[in-house]
Amino acid sequence: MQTNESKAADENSRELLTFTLGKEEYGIDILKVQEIRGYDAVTTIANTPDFIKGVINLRGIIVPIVDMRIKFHLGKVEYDQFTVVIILNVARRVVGIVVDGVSDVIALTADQLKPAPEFSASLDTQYIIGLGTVEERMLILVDIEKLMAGQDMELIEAAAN
Amino acid sequence: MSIDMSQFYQVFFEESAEHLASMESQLLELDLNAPDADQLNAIFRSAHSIKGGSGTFGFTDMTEVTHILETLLDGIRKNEITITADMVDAFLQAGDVLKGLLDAHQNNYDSDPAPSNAIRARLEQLTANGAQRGIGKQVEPVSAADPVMVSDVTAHPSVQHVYQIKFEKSPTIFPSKSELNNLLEELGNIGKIEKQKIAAKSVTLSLTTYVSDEELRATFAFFLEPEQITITLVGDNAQGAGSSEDEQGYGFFIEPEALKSEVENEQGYGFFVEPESVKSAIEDAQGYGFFVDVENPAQVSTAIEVDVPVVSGMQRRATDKAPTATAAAETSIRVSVEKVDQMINLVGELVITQSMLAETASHLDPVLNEQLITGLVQLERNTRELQESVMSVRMMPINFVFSRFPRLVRDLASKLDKKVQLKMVGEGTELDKGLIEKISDPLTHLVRNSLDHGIEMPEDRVAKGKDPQGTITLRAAHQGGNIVIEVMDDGAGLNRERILAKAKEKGIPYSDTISDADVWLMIFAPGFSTAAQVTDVSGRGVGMDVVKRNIEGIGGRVEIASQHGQGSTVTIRLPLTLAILDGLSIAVGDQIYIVPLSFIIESLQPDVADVKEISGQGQVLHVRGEYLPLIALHQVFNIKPKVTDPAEGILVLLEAEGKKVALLVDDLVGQHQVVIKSLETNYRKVVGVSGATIMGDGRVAMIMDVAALVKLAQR
Amino acid sequence: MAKNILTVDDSASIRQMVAFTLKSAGYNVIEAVDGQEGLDKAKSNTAHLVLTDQNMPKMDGLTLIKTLRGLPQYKATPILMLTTESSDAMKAQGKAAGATGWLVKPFDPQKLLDVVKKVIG
Repeated sequence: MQTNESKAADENSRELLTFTLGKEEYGIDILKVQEIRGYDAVTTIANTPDFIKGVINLRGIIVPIVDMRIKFHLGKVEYDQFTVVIILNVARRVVGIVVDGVSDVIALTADQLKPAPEFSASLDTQYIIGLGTVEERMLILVDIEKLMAGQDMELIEAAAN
Repeated sequence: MSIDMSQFYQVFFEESAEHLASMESQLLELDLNAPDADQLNAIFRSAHSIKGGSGTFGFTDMTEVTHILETLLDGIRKNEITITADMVDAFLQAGDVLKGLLDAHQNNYDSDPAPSNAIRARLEQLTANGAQRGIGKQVEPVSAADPVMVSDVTAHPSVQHVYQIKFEKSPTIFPSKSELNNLLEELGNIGKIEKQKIAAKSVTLSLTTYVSDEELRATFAFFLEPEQITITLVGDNAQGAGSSEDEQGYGFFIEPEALKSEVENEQGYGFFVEPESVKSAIEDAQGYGFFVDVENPAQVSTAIEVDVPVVSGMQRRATDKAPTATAAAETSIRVSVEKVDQMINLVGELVITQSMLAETASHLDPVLNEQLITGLVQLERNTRELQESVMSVRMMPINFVFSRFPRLVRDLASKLDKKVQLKMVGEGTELDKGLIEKISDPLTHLVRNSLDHGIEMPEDRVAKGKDPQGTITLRAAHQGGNIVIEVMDDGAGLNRERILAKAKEKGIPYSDTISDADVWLMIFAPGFSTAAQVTDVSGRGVGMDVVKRNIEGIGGRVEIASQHGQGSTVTIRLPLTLAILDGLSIAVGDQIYIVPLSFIIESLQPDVADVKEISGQGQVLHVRGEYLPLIALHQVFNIKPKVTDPAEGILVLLEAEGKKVALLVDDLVGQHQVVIKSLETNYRKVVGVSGATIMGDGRVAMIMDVAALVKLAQR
Repeated sequence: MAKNILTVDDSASIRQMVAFTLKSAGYNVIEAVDGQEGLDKAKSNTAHLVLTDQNMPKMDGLTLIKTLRGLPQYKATPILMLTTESSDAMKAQGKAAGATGWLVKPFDPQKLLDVVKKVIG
């Protein structure tokens, strides 16, 4: 939704939902977040990569669930009553991502935003909008729409030739 | 008062689109040798209506085209001009131009004036030529309902005549005053009476009117013999009295004041009076106690308006019907597709909820909860009926798709220099609106194929002893829970050798004993085309496989039958209901899959002896003399199963596209009616899965794509 | 008391425009899509004025006018024909059928109101 150019011209602050994944903390546009749920009753889809756990029934709609912890190779993952799923509205779809934990919703002002780093250990830099500093926290601002729509996520079929 | 006309535009666009469609299909049906007068009238009316609307709403570009179109059509329907094939072509072209102009207005862009200018010129030319050739045919067109035109073909002079009339009067001719009054009233209707003198044995008057002498005499015919009347033409009013009226765009035959005096003569009180006096006249009339059946005072109160001092003392035979009754036989409402889809979704949810309740109830003690269970059974019945009813709302006749083909066949056949007639059977067969949209492209491709590659050139056909005119038949019918659509042609049929040669060329393996039916299926392979030349119509080889995929994408199947030299038939089978499925749920490992019942032959627990291993081909099941390939579902879907030995599990025998397989599963769970949910909406197409559903316990289950599974077994 | 006007026209857009115009001016409007329906509605309601198009399916305008004139309650009701031309042929036919007057299409709403007012106030 936001291009790099338009970010500068944006209003003074943006609202982000922050969540943790491994050692990092990420922030995504709150407007892309539909809801937050626990992890429950996921139906496996045959022959899919391991990070695509399957689909759930979200009030009558079939929603795929991607475990970001697996995707980013963060080690052993558990599923229990504390497991968090963020339901997103991106790329005209409803998808859910499993993360380690959800922190809070914060407003980030333009002066709190630093440009994206050249390199990133965790995430391909094309998906990073920038870095945000709030008190002692360092947030990686992710273009969650671009990330979920990207080929890596294998959520969307490659364009037919 | 200014009114925003744009609020009526949308209705005008829609009704014009309908008129254009109707015009086109009527034009295509016209028999040029004996044009049906009703059809000509209908075509004229369509053009006329569009003209009226476009004029009223200011779409002058459309008015200009329709005006000339209408003039020519009017000449044709009045038998002044003979209709030719060239004119029909021009009319069809005009229709296309109008569609373009309509689209431009509807979507707010400027249209190119060139096509309009071109068609106007063409129509004007045709009109000029047609008029020269003179009056039309000998044969009078038969018409069921000729509009009653008082004086039709005889041209009216734009002149008023003044007649001096004298006729006899006697008790034999006019038994009472009312007959004479009736005659005078009739005369008053066709003209202006002056210097009226009623004598003992005769009546004289002068009548100023547009009608001719004959017309006038006809008026008297009811009352008098010809010899009892004397009519003398005294003079002509060269100036049409209505010239100023022409400028102002309206006029009265009976001036409101004059009407008043005539009516007063008749009835004893006036009608056309100045607004203020109307009120008092009404009040007088009411005070009069207007003439209503004394026996039916009720009629007074049921009438909508009680004023209008209507007629001469006669009983107000209001009606036998209630005031609100209309004679309209059919009523229909326009509903947006979104609303209907929403309704279908809601009903789908209802089905899921109902099945959840049924599932929960199945765990209850039936004796203790008898009423609840009975209630739920009733609920299931109600839900099913509601669901069928709602699905039927979206059902439309397949004619919506078929209707484009007469024009397509006509244009394409002409382009290819072939003679082809199109027959359509079962156009009223209904199918779901969603299917109609999706079947349109595949059908178009099939028809173009038949035209391009099926039907031979007229000379070739004659050489083969066939009628030079080929026939393409479109047929639709319901069969079981499906709709079957056929595209049949009497052309050259498929060429087995050519197809096999192409298959060899493409490296597609086949056995020497391959059946014809399987050879025909080969043309559905991607990139397959045996067309000698690639025309711009078809033949690029991208068609048939796309057709097959599109049809299978909507849950249907397609087959071909063909006889070399005689023709081909492509048969499409589609399910009637899109969204709801009867399925068997089966378990493998910890997962549940739904198998659509329509594919299931039976399920069984096999004997060890019936399961055989064929080297290189895997396991097969021997059942009733047949050997079916055995597929282990856990292998296909990579699941950890409970059983791997077929003899310990359950085999579900499936049939799809003529092929049978035996599917090994752990367990059968139950039979359900499920609502099909799309996986692709938020995810993507999964191989082996045709959709998903939500079970009674709220969990998602995958619906198996049996056709894909069966194909898997072929490898 | 509001007057009833029966408007008969097979074009929905024109009918709606006429109905809207007349209703905005305080008249009651009864609509019919063709001559047959016009006749039925004329019988089951009381129309103080009839506006009718000419070319319609099932029953055309002239036939409707003639038939209405044959009904006692419509012998004197003003009937205006809406016509696309003001030719003499049309005028003669209309008059012979019993119309009170005519109004040429296309007309703008204000003219319609002026004429209607002239006729029934």
